[in-house]
Amino acid sequence: MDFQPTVQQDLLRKVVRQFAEDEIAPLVNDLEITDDTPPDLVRKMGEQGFMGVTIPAEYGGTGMGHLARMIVIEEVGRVSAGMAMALQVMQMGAGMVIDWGSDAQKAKYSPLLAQGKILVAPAITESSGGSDLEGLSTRAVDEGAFYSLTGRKVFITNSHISELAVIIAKNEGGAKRDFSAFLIENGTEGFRRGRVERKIGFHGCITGELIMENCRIPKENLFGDKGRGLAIALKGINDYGRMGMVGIALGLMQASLEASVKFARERILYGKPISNLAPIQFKIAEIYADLEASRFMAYNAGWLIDQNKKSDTQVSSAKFFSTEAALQCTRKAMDIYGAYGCMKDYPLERYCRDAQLLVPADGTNDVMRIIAGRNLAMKK
Amino acid sequence: MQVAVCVKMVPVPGQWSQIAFRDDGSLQREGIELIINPVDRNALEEALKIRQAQGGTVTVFSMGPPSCLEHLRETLAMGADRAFLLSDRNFAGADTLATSKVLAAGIRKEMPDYDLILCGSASIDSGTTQVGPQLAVHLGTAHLTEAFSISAGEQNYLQVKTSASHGHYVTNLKTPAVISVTQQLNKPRIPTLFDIMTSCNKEIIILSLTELNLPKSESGLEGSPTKVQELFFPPAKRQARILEGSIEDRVEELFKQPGVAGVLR
Repeated sequence: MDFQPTVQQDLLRKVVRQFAEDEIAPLVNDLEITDDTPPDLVRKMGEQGFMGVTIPAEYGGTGMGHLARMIVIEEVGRVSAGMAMALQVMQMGAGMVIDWGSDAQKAKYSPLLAQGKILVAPAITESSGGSDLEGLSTRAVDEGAFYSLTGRKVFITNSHISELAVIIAKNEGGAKRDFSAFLIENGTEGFRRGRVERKIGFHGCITGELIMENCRIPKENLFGDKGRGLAIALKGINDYGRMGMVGIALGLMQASLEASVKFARERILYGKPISNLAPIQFKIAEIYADLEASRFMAYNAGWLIDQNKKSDTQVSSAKFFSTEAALQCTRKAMDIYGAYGCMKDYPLERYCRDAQLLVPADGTNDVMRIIAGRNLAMKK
Repeated sequence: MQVAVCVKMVPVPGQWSQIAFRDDGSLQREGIELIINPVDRNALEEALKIRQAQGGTVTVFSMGPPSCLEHLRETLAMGADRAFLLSDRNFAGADTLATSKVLAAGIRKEMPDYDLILCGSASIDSGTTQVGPQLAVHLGTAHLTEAFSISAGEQNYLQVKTSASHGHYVTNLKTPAVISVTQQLNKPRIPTLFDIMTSCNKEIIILSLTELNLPKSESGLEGSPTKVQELFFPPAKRQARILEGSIEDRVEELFKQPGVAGVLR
């Protein structure tokens, strides 16, 4: 077993870290206040090739794959969990078009998506939730010449900055699990953005509603085969959404570790740095152990996806393990900072708020346990 | 234009406290994370801009251990066409003279038709500023230091602006030449993911002492006349004085302090 990253992976990490520190870090404080996604930053990330990391070269990406994507998200998340969230969903949308789009859709959209020139927002969740896919109430009616969609999607990442959306809707009159996916372009009749939803963290990443009211969708905008909506949603969530949350968790833990070590070496108590104190060392060791364990789970899951192997048990386990580890690690780092950790002048309170958002997103951690547990305990 | 760029790998500033010194006073770099010397990236960026404007090639030369290979890959990702690592156990312990001789030998062997050689003005680990000028002497070519602007001149000339203590010089420099550059020159690019993919198809060639046809006596510790006599931390001399009175009086008093006028010019 070789744990040595490849030259390409090392270089990728270095380059993304440099970009994040040069281009994103100076904006983080403003993002906390404005909560807007800077279009200029999106353009730059697109030019760097971040959105096309899993997109094959023939469609304008680099085809580096899902393990490489994990590194990209981790390094952006180390600096800004909000921008990492926005980015990971941009990658998800671009990836879903490659995975499920028709040849015509791929030819039309993928080169633009791979370079961030347009964005696509995957829209699955409704007010009833995102994990109970069969409970989705958005309806698609086949009107012969077009589809008519009606419904409301909520908690949609990049809702207000995307040019396209992939909408999962139930086929009217179909069986319980008869769903389809549809590509909707901005400006389509009956399609509009609803309210922007305000979150406790991930600032700089816009979340909001997408509303369809008898929205007329051309037949050629059916996304994937009719009736494959649930499969499209589940693969997108597994391969991209949940893995994205894991990547952000890694970034937050890495940031917490670095911040903790730096502060512990500089903070003098009783005439010595607090890094000399065993309780502080314990916390730092625990953060490191959680980070490393999460990292191995994450990279293994990414590798499985790259190999086209079944990965839902590994992805679900990595998702609940790493995101809960991130919650604990950001809290421990905050404790190491003492009162300073509660100050807005330091990033620790931001890390804690951001970590909390990892738990419900892309399937709550209880649902992750159900998926992994069922696979392990019940399936033969 | 055929441009060579010399780069050095230096310890990450955040790990300087972990650097040990050998008995001979040289830095013990093993186990310390390395980065490309920051101002060397400016030299490479300028070379890439020149290639973009005038055509030609950009070739990187570096002397160092095999661990420098991954950093040379980064120079290829930034856009260099090829890279040479001058690496041999006999190069260890080199001072600036021995280093510049090795670099000159590498350039003579692999790029004898160079038009321009760009170097960073100083490394952040030793900061001698000597390698660029020494390289020019070995190659018998013109050189300028502290360049903060380089633009195309007539025919084989470049117009180069270099820093001076109270202003700057503008020089029409005939190529071939060596120029040491400062960080004011440009902002080095960050490679894209596409650049990383492309860099994997580019070649890094390792050249040893034998391949450079350089006598052992002119390289490494053996070829280094610099001998470190003593290493010590300079005593910190800090003092504070609070000036009082009106703002005019305080400014007048401030400028009477030795050295202040030069700083606040």
